Amino acid sequence: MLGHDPQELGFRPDFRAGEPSRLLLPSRIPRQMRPILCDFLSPLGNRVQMRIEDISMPGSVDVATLDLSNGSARPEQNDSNGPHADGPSGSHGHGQSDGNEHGEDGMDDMMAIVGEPSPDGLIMERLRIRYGPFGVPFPGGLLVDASLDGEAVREVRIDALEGPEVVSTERPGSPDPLAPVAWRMAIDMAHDQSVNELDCLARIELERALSHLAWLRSLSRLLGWRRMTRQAGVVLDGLNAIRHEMNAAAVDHESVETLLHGAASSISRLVASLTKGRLLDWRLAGRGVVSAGAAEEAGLGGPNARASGLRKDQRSGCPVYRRIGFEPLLEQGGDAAARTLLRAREASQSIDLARRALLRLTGETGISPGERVAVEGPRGALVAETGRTHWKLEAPGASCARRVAVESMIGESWQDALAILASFDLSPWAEGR
Amino acid sequence: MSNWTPFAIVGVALVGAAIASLIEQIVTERRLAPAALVRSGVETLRHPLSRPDVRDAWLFHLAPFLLVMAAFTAVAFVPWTSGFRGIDLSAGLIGFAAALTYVTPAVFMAGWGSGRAEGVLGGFRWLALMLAYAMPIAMVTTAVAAPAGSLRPSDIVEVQHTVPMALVQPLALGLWLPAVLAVCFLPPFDLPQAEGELNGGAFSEYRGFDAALIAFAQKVLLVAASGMTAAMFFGGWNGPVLPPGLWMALKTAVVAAFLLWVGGRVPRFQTDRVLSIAWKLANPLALLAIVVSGLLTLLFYR
Repeated sequence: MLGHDPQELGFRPDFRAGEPSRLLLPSRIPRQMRPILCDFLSPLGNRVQMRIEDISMPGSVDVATLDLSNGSARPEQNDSNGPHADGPSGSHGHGQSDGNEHGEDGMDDMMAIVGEPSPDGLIMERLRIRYGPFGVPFPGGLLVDASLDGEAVREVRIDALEGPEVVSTERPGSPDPLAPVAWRMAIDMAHDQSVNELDCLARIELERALSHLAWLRSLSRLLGWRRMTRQAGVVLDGLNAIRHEMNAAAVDHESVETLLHGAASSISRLVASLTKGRLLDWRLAGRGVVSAGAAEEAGLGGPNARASGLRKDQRSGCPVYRRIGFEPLLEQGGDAAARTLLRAREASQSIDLARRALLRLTGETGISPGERVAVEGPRGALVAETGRTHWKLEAPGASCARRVAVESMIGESWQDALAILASFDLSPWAEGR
Repeated sequence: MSNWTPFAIVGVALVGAAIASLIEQIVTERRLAPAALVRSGVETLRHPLSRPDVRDAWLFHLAPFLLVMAAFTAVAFVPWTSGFRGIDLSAGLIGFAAALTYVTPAVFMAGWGSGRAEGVLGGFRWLALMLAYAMPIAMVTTAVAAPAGSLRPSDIVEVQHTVPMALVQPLALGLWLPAVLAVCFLPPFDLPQAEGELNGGAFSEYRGFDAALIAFAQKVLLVAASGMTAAMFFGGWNGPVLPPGLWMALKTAVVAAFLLWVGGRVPRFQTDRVLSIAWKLANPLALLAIVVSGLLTLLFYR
């Protein structure tokens, strides 16, 4: 059984000595990803065994052998539609063919921005760097293609996996593996399904804390900050234990409460060490600054907007959040340091909110508003809308974040540009939705 | 120097690299698992050598050997005990610094030879880093040599039989430690490989034996740098009760652990910031350290 870390799900190379080369990846592979896969996998030979995991359905794992000899990552006929002998039982048949079909319909969204030549006026050798889709600091599926003038970023293009929005006639599943709980809640509520609001709140807040901390760990890896990476990893292990506990058939609320209490103090220590010695400011302050005005104008949402001082949070208008005393956290700097600190503080706040929600939890369920529901996910608002004949899922502000991130990278050194890009916490699955 | 000395140097490097790997495991992963280290080493060696379509295959495949040679030579200049000195020159400290300078072409050759953008970028970053650390190393060497009146490392150890140089010249020590961390391209100065940023950078294309050589050379460099730090600042083999060799080994291990521990506590430096700090702060302070050392020599060591 494969592990499920919501932030790290996505493409995950797993090359083991003495075994067939494998690549763990979501079952949906858009058409545009195939050349990238070919580039990445070609050193391994023409035939590569791929383990394909459908993130939205834990436990469903297919294995397909891709033939790369003709330059296109197409599955072999025999393997594409069914589980391989290697795969655990219970496969759902979400093989490569599913991905291909999706890929035909899907389009990868891209954004390219060209900046001025090197500010020092020196003529430098132009270097082209492609980063991803398997780069550790970012979730799988994000491809950064940069042209460097010396080490200064001259031109950047970012490709994401998905198209601008999801419109479907059937009830959709969670479209973003990096925020499955928040999406599922939004879809459930839009479907007039009766839900226990406090239970939903606790689960969404736990997901937010997990997402923010997994992101912090990735950012720390990118920055080469081993201590922070380890510390975030320890806290994440604790939160994952809570998630498993909450997903159990019979939830032991007392045990969850104890675990949440422990997690709250770990996160407080993490936030303290993040600010201690001003190392965070020293490394990230003044990088990728987005003023409140610019954030408003660009349409940024979620933590990226709140780090610029904007009170953009779907939770503010939600009665159940108001009942447990929620107030959105804000930072004023608008730079990479502010975005980092805000997410760390929000992770701490989320655990606190989850505890408060669980303490007031009763068995009551209420009828959700239905039709159009907006939930504040880890990266901003997630909107699920249903009409008589269609479903529509949107993540307003997600593509704005990518545009602002790309603009902020131009002219920066590659080292800083990557840190800036990472600080926006982009999800290739939510981009453009 | 006997006929056996080169073998002894290789032995010290091998044992030192193994111990440095264990120390790194304890410091960075908070666990001691020698079996995991062996497994990882065997897996690396079992991996076939990469024959990528590199820009310059000669430079690319020569670089790991040059790096190992530089590291071995640096180890040879460290005075391990009063009775065992690999290369005991009257200008041994200069020889040590000279050995370290060969790390520069080795890393640059690796990056340039690979022909990959990440490799070239890693190589250029390394050149910039060298401009930052080279001057402090040279000037601190001078500052430490002055009280002994000699550039021979064993003389510098002898002059510390009462007070270690770390207490007499803390400024020089403060400048030396980051500089040797940089020489070993360890965090927070791991700019040439920069995991997460350059995906291995200058060393991104190495596999199998080449990759093992690079990792080995880095550990040997750490041993050499820690050993010379122990000799220059902590009295080398001087110490009560325990045998001199054991004192030196303990001090070297503590310095190596400290370097690895400190390196993990701060984010990676940016290239421009390293240069800025080096030229605006470290170099003037290194000059000051020389002046202080001169005064101390006149007042207490004559």
